[in-house]
Amino acid sequence: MNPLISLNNLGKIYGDKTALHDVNFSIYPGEFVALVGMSGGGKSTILRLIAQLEQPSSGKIAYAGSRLPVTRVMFQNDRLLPWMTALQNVSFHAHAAATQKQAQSALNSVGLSEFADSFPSQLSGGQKQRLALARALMANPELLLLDEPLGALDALTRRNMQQFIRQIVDEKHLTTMLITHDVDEAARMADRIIVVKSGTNVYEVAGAKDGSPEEVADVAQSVLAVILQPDESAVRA
Amino acid sequence: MKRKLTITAFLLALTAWLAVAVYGYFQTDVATTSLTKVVVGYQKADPVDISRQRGELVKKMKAKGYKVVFKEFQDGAALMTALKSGSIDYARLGDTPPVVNQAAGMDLVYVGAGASKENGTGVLVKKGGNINSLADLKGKRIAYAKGKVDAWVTWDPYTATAQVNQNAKLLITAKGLAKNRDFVVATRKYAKENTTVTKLFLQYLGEDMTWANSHKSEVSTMLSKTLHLSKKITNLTVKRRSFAFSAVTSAIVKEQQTIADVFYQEGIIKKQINVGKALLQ
Amino acid sequence: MENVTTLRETRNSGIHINWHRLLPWVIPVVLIILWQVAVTAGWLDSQLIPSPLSVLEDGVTLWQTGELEKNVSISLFRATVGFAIGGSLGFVLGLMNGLSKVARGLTDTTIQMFRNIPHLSLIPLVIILLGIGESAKISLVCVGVLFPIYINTYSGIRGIDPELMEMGRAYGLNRRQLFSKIVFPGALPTILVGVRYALGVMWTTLIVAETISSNSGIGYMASNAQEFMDMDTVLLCIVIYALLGKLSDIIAKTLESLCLEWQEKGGANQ
Repeated sequence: MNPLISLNNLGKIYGDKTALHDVNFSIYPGEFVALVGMSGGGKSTILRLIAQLEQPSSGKIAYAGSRLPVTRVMFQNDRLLPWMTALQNVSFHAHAAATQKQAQSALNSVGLSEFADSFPSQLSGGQKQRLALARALMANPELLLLDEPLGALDALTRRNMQQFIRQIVDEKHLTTMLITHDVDEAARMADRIIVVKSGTNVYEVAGAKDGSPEEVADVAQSVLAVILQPDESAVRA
Repeated sequence: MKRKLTITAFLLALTAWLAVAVYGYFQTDVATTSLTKVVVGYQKADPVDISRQRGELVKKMKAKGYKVVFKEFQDGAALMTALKSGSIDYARLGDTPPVVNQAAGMDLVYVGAGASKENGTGVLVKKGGNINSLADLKGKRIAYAKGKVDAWVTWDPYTATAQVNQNAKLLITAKGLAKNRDFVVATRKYAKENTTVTKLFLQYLGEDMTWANSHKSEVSTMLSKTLHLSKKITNLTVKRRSFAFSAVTSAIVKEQQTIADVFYQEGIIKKQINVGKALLQ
Repeated sequence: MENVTTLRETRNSGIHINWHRLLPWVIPVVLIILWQVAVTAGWLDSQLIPSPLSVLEDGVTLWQTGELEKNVSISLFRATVGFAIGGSLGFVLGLMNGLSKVARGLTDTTIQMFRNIPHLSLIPLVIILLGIGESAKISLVCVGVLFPIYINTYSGIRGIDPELMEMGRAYGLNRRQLFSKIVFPGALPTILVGVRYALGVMWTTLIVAETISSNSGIGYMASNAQEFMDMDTVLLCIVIYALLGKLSDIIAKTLESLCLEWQEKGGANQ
């Protein structure tokens, strides 16, 4: 199978600081990939390059069929528009008038059917993130980018959202890339985990989705070990 | 539902606001006309105001092809500014602003002069106080405005108001001292180019003043309404003065010259002037 | 148990709302009553401070002679036109400078320089340039209104959350859509604060402008009455200012609550 996108020797320099160098990995259609690593390791920069919010300094991103896949980002802070109702927030970027129905069904799919006319400030933290997810799903994206979307939620809501997101991704067969610094979250949700460290990808391991708590803990352990290793002995994937 | 109600109320209020504003526009005097416009600046209750309210001058000027527009001002300084900028063509002033402005280098001309108002100008003191003659004023505080003073100098209708309302008495009038005349002035440029207008304007203004002399009770009612003062006050004002308006005579020039000379001696104006030069030859 | 609580709450909130509605009017009403009593009882010299009733009578008289309607409507006309022109100019300048770096670099310094000139100090200049007609008064109102609207529009736009802008771009909005969906609604609360402030400036400027040279308008009515110690009319004018000010404020507030429904709802929830 051809990858949906491939990152080839990707590098990014801000001023005299190298944020990324020699990043090489691919994401395949239908796959759920998690990028983990410490803050400042470069994982967010990778997401921003994929989302076209920034341009790489070197290397390139190749797309299947050399066409840009429809990409949607869900950010850590919900980035909802406070002056729009839930329904308007979901459909604000869509052009056609017929999207009202689509928007309502997107709301339904995240369990916010009754909140169509509510403003973001009237929703709880978890509801806001579900709304942000509904917005990301509106355009039927080929690639869904999740930038630490659950970072600001409390532990319980967070666990529920992890399940919920994974469930929806499975239902819609979405290709997804999750960025997180929570190794447990990565182990629990992802098909494949890529560790990003010091500006490049250093390690890959299969996730423990649907696994027992022990299996999840094992994967998380091994990922954490790589992240915490001193730089010199880093293992190239 | 409530939102709809609010929107309706808001739009209604806005419409009402705009409607009143549009009505206001038609109340302003920006009416256009094919007649030649003559703008006269005046101060409340002066001869020009009497003429304006009587309405005859406007009619007569209209018959001659001129549209007279009156603009009211609060004081002589504002009138002078307006005259300089060309916003008005004629200004009705007291006796001092022309002197001060001529000294300041303005090229103005006197086009007409009113009657003396010496009987309404004077020194006021508290009735029943211990000031009974000018000699008693020695060592007292005198001012040009009322405050905590023992005596003050003012002119009608303030003099009359103080006499009627504020228990003041007129210690002495300006009779023989100052005429306190009204003047109409224009810029030399305008006066030169519009001698006909000046002639007509002065003639009709004079006619209105003649009317005023024979209709003092009407004039008093008019002033009482304009100034929101009781008729008692305006009766007093009107009774002790006579109305007139005509070209400036050499005697009047002399009066003005005296004021100019005193002002120069007192340092109020920096330049010695010749009032006779402020006439259209 | 639950029924009991609900009942009590309803009753409490009923009284509460009524009280809250009346509350703002307590001080004005008490002041007016005190004023009337003080004059009637002779504590105040009715020559200097006439009673509210005689002020009202004066208002009725002036209304009957047509003077009141004429002056109020003329003032309203000048205020409205001045506000419309000055407000639009300020808004457009604020937009330009908020959105374009070039425009900002070009004009902001100049505008800041002019902004610090007290606009009423322009009166002599305005008289010389524009004379004493309607345009002089209207342009003074324009200048007074322009800056609050400009500054608030500008800072409203500059204060837009860059993360929301990035989100908009990530979701494929073009420039026009970015403006209509993010920039403008995001700046609107600040702009409306400017509008409210400008409405206040509008009245104060106009009143002063009308006292310069005018034979109409509320400012004229007041300064004219003052000259002849007509205290009834002076106080009547003050009351009219107060009412017009309140009216403008109500309109501004209603506009805010209509445009910023999202803020109010959020507030109720917090």
